[in-house]
Amino acid sequence: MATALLRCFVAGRYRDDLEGDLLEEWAAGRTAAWYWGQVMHAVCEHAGFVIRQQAMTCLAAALFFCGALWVIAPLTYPVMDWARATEPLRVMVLLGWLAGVPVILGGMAGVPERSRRVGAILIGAAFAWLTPVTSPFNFVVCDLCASPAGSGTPDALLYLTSAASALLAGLGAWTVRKLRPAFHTHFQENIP
Amino acid sequence: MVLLAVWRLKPEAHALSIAREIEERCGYSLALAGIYSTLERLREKRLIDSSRGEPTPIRGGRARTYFDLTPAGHAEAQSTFNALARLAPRAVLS
Repeated sequence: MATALLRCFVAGRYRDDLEGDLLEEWAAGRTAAWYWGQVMHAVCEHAGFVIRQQAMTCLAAALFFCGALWVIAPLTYPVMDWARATEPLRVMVLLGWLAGVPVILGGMAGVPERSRRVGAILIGAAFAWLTPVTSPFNFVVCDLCASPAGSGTPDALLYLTSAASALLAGLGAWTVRKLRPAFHTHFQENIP
Repeated sequence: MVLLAVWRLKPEAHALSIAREIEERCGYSLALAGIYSTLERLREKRLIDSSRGEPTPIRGGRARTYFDLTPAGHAEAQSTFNALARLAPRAVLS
């Protein structure tokens, strides 16, 4: 799992070397805690590198997500009302909304040629999801988690939702990036 | 520190050996990712060169990257070493 995390979130010239070094040290008897520590350090180091190298892309992605969420957020309340009306499907509808919005926005952010850098999009999305613009989406989390007695939702869960939304946005951007060459090939082959 | 470690270990300097050397001689435990990002910056400044070794099964079939100083890197390492020597107290040098 740590290696998968490394492959997902760390890119660059020396990623394979780092992976090889970690495997070598693991075989030499290093602990799982050491392995995870190295992976987390690599992820943070790479995030810092992406922010330094692609500051404008990060900023553009953060602004795009803030703007898009500000436009989409008011739609959340009608969706919640509709979900409550379809009670057996309420959880499915709300989870779909909560996950679908970041994936679609991530995909949109990944479409322009200049914004195909998934790491920068992911960081921009993470910044955006920590702003108050996302408060209507927090109500969805509360609606999903609230017990019949109406107990509150822990703040930690809301932060976890923000992190998960950023990851989903990254997934959307990554999917578009992967699909783009396939679309290009398809159209080049089928359009005379 | 990384540059001096490459100088000491060349031509067999690689990230793991650099980390071990620094830990052994200076007592600092550096993360491998930190060493790679430093090596990348040194490479961008053309202070070090790299070459690929042979893939090995213990590394999951991945090759190791070896680092060596360029002439500019050698001059920089020498200059850093001289600066440190000049800063050392007289009692240490005697």
